[in-house]
Amino acid sequence: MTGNTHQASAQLTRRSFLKATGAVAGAAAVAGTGATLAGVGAGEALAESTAAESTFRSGCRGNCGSKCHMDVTVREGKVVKVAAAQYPEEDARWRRLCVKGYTQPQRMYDPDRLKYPMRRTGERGAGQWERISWDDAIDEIAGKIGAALKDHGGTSIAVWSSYGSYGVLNGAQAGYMSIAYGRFLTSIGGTVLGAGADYAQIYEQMILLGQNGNSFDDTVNSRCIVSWGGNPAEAYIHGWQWVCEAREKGAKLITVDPQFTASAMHSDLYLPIRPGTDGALMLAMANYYFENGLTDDEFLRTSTVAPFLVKEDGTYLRMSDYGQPTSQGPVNPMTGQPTVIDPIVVWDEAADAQGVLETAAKPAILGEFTLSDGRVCKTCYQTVLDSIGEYTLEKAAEICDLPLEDIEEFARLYAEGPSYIMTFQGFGHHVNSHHNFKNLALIAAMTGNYGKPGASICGASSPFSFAVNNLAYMFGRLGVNTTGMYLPKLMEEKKWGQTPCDIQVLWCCNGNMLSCESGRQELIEAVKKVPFVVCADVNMTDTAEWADIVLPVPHVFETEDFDGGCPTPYPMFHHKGLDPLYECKTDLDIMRSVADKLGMGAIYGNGMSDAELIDVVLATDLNKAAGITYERLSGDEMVRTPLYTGATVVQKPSSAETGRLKFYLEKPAPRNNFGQEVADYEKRPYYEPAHEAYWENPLREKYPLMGCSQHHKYHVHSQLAYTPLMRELEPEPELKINASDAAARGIKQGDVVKVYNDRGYAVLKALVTEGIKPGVVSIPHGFQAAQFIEGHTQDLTSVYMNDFCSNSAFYDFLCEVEKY
Amino acid sequence: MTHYGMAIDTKRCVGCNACTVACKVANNVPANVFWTRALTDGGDAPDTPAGVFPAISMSYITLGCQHCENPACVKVCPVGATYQDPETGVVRQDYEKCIGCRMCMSACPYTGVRSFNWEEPAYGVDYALGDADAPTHQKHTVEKCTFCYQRISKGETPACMDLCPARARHWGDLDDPESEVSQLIASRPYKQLLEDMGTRPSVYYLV
Repeated sequence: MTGNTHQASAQLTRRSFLKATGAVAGAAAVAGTGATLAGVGAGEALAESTAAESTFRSGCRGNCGSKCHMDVTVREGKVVKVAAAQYPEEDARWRRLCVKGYTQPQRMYDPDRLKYPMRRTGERGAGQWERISWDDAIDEIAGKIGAALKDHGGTSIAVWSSYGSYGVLNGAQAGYMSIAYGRFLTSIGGTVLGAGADYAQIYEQMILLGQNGNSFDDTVNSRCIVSWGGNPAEAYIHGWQWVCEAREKGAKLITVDPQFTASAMHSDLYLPIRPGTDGALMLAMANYYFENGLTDDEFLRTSTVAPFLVKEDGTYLRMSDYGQPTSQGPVNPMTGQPTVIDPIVVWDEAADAQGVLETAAKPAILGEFTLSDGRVCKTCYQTVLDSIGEYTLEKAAEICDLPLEDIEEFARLYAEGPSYIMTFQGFGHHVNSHHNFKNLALIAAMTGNYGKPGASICGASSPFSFAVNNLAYMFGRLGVNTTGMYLPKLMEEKKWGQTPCDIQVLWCCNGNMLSCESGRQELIEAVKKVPFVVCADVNMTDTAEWADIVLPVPHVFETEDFDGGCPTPYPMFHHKGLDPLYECKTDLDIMRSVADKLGMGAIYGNGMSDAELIDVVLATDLNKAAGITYERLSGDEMVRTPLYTGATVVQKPSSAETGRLKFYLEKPAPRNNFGQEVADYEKRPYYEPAHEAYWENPLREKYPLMGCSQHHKYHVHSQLAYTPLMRELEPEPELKINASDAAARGIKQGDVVKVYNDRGYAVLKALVTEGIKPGVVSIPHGFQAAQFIEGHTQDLTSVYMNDFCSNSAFYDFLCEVEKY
Repeated sequence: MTHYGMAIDTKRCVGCNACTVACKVANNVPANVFWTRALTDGGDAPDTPAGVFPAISMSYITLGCQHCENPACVKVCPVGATYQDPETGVVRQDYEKCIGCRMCMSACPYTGVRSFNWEEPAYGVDYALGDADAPTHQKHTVEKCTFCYQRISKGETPACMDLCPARARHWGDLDDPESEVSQLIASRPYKQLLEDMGTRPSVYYLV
């Protein structure tokens, strides 16, 4: 009973215990009051366990990135509970479910579910609706689409989505990639309005730099884990167990975050950085490593682009510059085209002469060299170092408002490695954010913290990939493919680049953009200019509120679909456990009806079933060889991706051309190209202040506080907004404000406050805490407009984006708070 | 004899409340009643730290019935509705016998682990969630964590123990020295809540 190492049992005294419980009074509030009661209802201690139960397998469909498989129990036609699905024993560590998943039975019956098609009867956004039949809805929609196609062309039909589902039948991967939406849009040459959220990382780190990180279970091999721009303890909780395991083996945990989270709470070192300044710290670390001889020069030489010589125009010196013709290399699986081989020229220190990368004995990583043609070039590493010289640790301490000794300790711990930086989107929400990912690659390159067990600069969102046949979604070309955040620009200019784009029909699906993209008021003004707006969703969202017609789609438990994303070794097959509730129809069934009405039924195979269509998507050589078919996935077996080897994934430097870690972009092209200029600094590690939320901004005289938000443990973006269990835990939005900032404004715990700037405001309760950096306030993300006393989180934010990566800049705003 | 207990690793717990909601769903616990929940040991509101920025600290403790070996609640119950199950050590509550006097709530030093249904219990949805054989909630009755008696009596684990995302929760037989909980308690420092009250809780918090 008693342990021989029993210690510290008196640590939690009754006093501190009561204080702790007092913090969540309510459950305890009824204790010790009232008189004894007679007439207690008799009842059974245990209910009879007679009702027949059945189970089916599904999973969460939110965009937290975890894709948790669950076993769902049905009793008397209703979902009554879920449990984390079991994996085979060797994969048990991947088993996962969180507080949000457990509430799915309630979510299915959420009070705000859409039940039948409705047509707006009042002004847009006024909340006045009439129930209509599906026939009426489809007639009206198909009529509007048909007329728009005839008069304004394919680009006048726009589908606007976010990350609501990646299902191959009904979802909107990359904005349109599903049978339902991909086939329709590519057939008509329509307009895709994709997500703006998270594209600093997705575009810069994943697409341009090709860095996807190691699988999360590789954290156990790390000696230094950095929660930077992330909160694995709450926002990606399924990575947390491996952080714990590493710490139990002696690894250090460091959190860089203006908000004191559960990750920060467990950290060995906590750096409450000023929002939007992370990039300056990264560059200062790079200079510190160089000045103090903490660089891994062999890694730089053999595994990175450091030795490449850079020409005056910023591109790499190659043999074609000396007249040598290029040759063809292996086919790039992404493009289907052969790669072009044009050998990189380096300075070979061993020969004291120029040479090519493949054969040079010791390519120089530093220096400036005069080449055979008289041209003078620096190495890529030298070029980069010369451009970041101004950022010292002292300067970073000032910019980031952090103690110098803390950032020096952090820099040293990171360099010792192996170090695993867990980035999520926390430093991806400012206009300057995308530079962070080049800067991270630079410090990883300089310290050899990449491509090794325990060394990564982000956690892989889907380390165990699964191949699908993307051509299954394509019947032609899209007319315009851009970010929905440009809707105001499109409605103003009616063209995208040189392509006419006069949007007549806006179809919103798989996302709640008017709650979850930044600049809500500007987006609403743009939506108002669209002649006809349709929204298909499970719930009456902030976006659906602004539609002309809303269409009810089923909860995931009522839908059969497949999602090949593999954060676990198992792709997600959603079994359909129940018929759709109310009058819900799947996105694909809705699009089939619209297509039939337009005489386009052939695009969905003239009556091909969902099962047959899933088989079309699955039809890759790899899946055929592995015997992966609809029949198998829809059975009882938990089917593992054939690309899973059983091992932890350690991503190797993956530049397609050289297999080296890139911290430099030779020819940076913008994500959404409308003819804009690309600044020279897009090539290299760089820091610039945020657009609005920077400390020296004169606007701080009027709006002194820096705004931000949080991926909170009780939200998956705006999903679960009205799920009763979640709202028991967190009844309403609260503005997190430091006690000193609150005191200066006469604000006490629980006071109703107004947070505002020139764009808009929100009225909500104050959460006065020491757990946020003074000068910073955090407004919760995911609540719907009706849940605020007034206003909305995104009413304070702007549609302004860095047009290189077109990334929603949720945290790049200043504001003021006052008692309401 | 079996003596069920829990070992909860506070070095791993992040206060996510997955256990809280797993319990609520499995037992169809009424709205705004919690048989277990993550409490913040820190500032004056949930999820806030103690101290003054930046010298701040916080920890979480998940709190439910401690299933004490020497339960204060059992001693004061005038009708024997609160009793210790001799086969499992679980402190149980017989709703049929309970007269709603709430003496057990007063006697229990662990504030908030029991609740009293002043009104007919209300729920988030209009049908019973959870296990078919979970206890039916009644007006004018005291209730609390049962260690998911309906589950453990079938050899299953309590709902809150099925899957902790942080792998912080462990459950098993404290009388079996080979069990995981016994091994953890033997090898790790721990604390118990209000030990000086002499209740001898069956819940251990690894520190």
